[in-house]
Amino acid sequence: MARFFQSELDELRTKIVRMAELAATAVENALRSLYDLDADAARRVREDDDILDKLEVEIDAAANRYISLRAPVAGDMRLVTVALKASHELERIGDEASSIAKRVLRMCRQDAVVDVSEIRRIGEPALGLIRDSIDCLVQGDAERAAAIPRGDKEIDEIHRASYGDYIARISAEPEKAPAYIELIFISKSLERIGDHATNIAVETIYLVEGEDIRHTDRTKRSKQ
Amino acid sequence: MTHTFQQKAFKPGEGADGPETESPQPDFIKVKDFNFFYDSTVQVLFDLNLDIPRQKVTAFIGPSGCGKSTLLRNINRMNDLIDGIRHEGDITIDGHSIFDPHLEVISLRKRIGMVFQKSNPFPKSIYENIVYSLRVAGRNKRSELDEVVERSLRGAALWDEVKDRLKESAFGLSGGQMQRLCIARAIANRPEILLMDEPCSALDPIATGKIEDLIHELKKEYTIVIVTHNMQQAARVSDRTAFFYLGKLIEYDRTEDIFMNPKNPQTEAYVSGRFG
Ligand SMILES: Nc1ncnc2c1ncn2[C@@H]1O[C@H](COP(=O)(O)OP(=O)(O)O)[C@@H](O)[C@H]1O
Ligand SMILES: [Mg+2]
Repeated sequence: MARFFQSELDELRTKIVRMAELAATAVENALRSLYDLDADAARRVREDDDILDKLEVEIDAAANRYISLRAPVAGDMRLVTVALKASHELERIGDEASSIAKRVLRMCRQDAVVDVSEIRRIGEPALGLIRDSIDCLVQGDAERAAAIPRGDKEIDEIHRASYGDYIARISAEPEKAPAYIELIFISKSLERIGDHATNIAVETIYLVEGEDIRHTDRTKRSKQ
Repeated sequence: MTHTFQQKAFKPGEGADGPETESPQPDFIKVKDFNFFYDSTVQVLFDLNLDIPRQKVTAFIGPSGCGKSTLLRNINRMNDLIDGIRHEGDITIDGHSIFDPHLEVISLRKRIGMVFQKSNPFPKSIYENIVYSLRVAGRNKRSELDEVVERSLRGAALWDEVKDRLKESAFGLSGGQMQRLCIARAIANRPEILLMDEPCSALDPIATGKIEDLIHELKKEYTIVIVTHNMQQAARVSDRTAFFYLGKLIEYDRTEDIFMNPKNPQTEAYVSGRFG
């Protein structure tokens, strides 16, 4: 029996899905603005971040209202708490995309043409991981979600391994050091985006299975 | 039902009210500086002022004995039956005083349906329970009565369950069905207002859920005032909530404000379940 207020949960779902799509698109657009050194595109990423911020506030309000007025339990309650946490992760992903775009704008002003192949190497898997984790959340796919932490670990390693490459590039082209330093920060943002993808995956598992795997052996195992 | 963020087909806003955004309905029932005494020495309601909007659900909550039922029974002047009562101040419906000496109480009660805590069907058939007041008023035309029965039972979400046994005794119904029959009876005369005094307190959670869903439907047509000691019920079904304590109105606001951010510490203590 669907109660009359059940559709409020559907509205919450819709908002999360919309936010997830916007967050993934923000990362994708931020990366593209870097590859194309396109200042207009970078500026748009920063402007669009407002929509994510606004959605986070709306989701918080709707979730708090649902908890206060509808007293959800079991799966309904997990859905609401996961919506609250996932919206926060998605907002942070938006912030990282926005921060990447800010650095792209700086690089556009520096007018330095640099090799971004290290960023391509971490950017593609990071974007893929975000899309996967969002997919798992939306589909309620705990099995696939369990593989996300492993992908995150790979991204961590790519990020760490790129330090040496950046040092080599800066030694070879010291006049472009400011641009390469921006790239190091962009790499760090992408590494963080992987962390957010992992958090979303962990929330998905909680949503579907009711089990909190944070700080447990299961998390450690899933990274191997 | 598995819990995912997968979307189902629905239209935004359909079914759910969400936070109230539409412009407030003009006030319909107004309680003004109202005091009520069961006898000249026992005052049970003190200086009440509240405006009840049309086609919304307004809930009265508060600890038992705080005067919720007394106020509710004043709205249709049910208390008139009690000797020695006295009131000060006024209650108006659509701008007209219900205490106007020229007003016939019968015509007031026609505009107001009432549902009680204990469902109280007459010892008659389902059909006769609904048409009883029409028969009393001398309306006996078969086709008209049939029409009223079907409309009322549909309105009370009971038609599908009883349409094949209208001639059977109302006492054969389950508790929840009996209560919905009482709601059907209350809307048979097409009132404007429905007063409900703890309509679910004798029902199990499933039957309660059905009545709550029904209340949500009925408010499209009726102005509903419900007394409930179940705070979650007030939170679920009402648009406005009035919290009473010792005969005084402590706080009256949009339901989400009362439950999410009450202004008065007594209200907060009560809705949080740590009263007294
Ligand atoms: N018929 C009556 N005669 C005298 N006192 C009454 C009568 N009905 C209720 N009261 C008193 O009026 C106060 C409010 O009662 P009531 O309106 O039934 O409260 P509530 O519905 O909030 O539980 C209580 O103190 C109660 O004892
Ligand atoms: Mg009472």
